[in-house]
Amino acid sequence: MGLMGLLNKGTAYVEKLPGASVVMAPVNWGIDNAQSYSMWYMLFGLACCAIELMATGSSRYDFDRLGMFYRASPRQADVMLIAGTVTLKMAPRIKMLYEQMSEPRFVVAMGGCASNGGPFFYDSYSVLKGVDKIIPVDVYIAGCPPRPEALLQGCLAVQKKVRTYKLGQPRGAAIRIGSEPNPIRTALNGLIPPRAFDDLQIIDQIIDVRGQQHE
Amino acid sequence: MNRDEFVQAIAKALPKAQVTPDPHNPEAITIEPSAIHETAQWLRDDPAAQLTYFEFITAQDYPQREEIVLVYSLYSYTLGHRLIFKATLPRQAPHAATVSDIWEGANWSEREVYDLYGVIFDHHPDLRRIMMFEGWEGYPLRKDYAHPNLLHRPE
Repeated sequence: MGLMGLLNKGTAYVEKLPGASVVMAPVNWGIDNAQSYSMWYMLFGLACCAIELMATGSSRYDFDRLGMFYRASPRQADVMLIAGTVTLKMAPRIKMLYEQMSEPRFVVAMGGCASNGGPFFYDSYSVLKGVDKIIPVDVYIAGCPPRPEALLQGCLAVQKKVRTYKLGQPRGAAIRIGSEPNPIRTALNGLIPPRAFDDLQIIDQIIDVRGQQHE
Repeated sequence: MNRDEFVQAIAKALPKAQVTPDPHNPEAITIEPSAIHETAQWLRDDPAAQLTYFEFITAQDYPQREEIVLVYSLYSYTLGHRLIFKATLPRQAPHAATVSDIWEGANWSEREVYDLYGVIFDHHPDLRRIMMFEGWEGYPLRKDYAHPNLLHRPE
């Protein structure tokens, strides 16, 4: 989307001219639709969610009809599907891959593990409790693993987000697929004590360790 | 060869190993940790044993007894029998001789046991962590392991 990003940026300049919005509105509409129907995702499976991702990509569900196609390089990918469990060992690599993607870039946290640690939230020393601890997430998909239908819904949500997204403006709030807010948990929200540890601090330490090693 | 025949044969060939049948496992024997290397060499090369296939090595942690037990599992494709041998190490400074010069496949398995249980394999060619990354502190599969990321499920 490097070219598309440039086009998007160009229209932002042209729009400042008087009367330009009449001309640019259809152009923007075209660009937004072109962008949203050619979302290439990074081929990047981490755990069992990747199996559902493959099932969604194959002929029965057919990702390709939404313009979702795999691209095995972060530099030419538009959307990153975090399909699976993110371990602390993998976390710095995911951050590195995310940083290599060109703007505008979108992240989908697929399944419980990528969203908040899922079944590994408790009793695990090596699993990152949610990929949003290291990179911003646009769409969360509930499920363990999510069915292909849920993933398709998540992809449609990403496309909607791409169409409403304007470069340089703040990204909208994350969309949650398949998880209705629990009313009991919402009522208890302020009453539950904060966690006894700081994930971010741990991640910083890990990244420091890796950085020192590379030097 | 079954387990009892192994016990007799090893007792005859290597009296230093002090081999005994394991009370908990009908396929297992226990030996002295100082004799691991010689016993392993004998088990691979003896014509009656021929345990040429190294299945796995793992460990058991017993904090109350201050012991770490190494468990080696071997199989013979030519003779079709299996043997598990165990060796008990002190938990404070667990050292054992490597068997990666006898079975090449033991190399990464021993690294895994070193990584997760902290057993040092002497003369191992490349004893580094394999699952966790370099710089990780502690040995996660020990019973008393604690980590700030490790949150126990509330009862």
